[in-house]
Amino acid sequence: MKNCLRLLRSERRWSQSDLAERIGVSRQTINAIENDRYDPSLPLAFRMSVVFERPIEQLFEYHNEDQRD
Amino acid sequence: MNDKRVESDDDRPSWPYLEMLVFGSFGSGTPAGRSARHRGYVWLAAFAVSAMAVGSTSLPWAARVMLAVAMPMAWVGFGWSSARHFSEMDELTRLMHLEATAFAYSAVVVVAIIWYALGVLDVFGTPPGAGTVATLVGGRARSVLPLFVLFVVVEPIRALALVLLARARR
Repeated sequence: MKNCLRLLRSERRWSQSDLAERIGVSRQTINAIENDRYDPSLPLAFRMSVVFERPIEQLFEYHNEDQRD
Repeated sequence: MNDKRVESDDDRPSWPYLEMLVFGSFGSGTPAGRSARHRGYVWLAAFAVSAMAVGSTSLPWAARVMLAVAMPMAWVGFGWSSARHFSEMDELTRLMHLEATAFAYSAVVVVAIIWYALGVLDVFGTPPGAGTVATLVGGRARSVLPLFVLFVVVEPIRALALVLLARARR
């Protein structure tokens, strides 16, 4: 799953710590999500959606590797 | 806030590896870790004080009994503090703790069972001329390896697993 958290965070000039504090997780979790090392749970994704004031599908993009066109 | 701060924040090391290796937790690297560490110090201090005072002959008997009770209770408090720490973690750190614990305890249980099986072989005997398993490892029958030794090393194994899992998610 890809995401554009780093871009949105940079637009707002928030540090990883700032975003982490806003959604109640550790900075390391934000770092892992931004680097595609961890896919957040649905509640956490929704919290991000609220903080960035964007629909959740604009934050995350799902790539189904098994899907064939 | 400025751009410089954003960049420097992203460049910081992802995980407190040294603390993770030494303490087996994320230590002061996370808000939950910081509060847990403070609580842990309080309970450990309570244990240390009661352990030192319980041997004092100048205290009345009743006070020493209370201190003797306080010693294990301090460990109960420490366990409660650890459990609370676990509930305060965010989802990724909790997942990593679970993965590290599962790996460490599974590995230790497997090794313990193998050693136990070797001990059983010694008790019931090996084929004629094969010698004994205990002899091969330089031990005595039924004491090939005390199982509790394995459970002493489980925490360092868990800490190491935690570091490896964190490195995979930096």
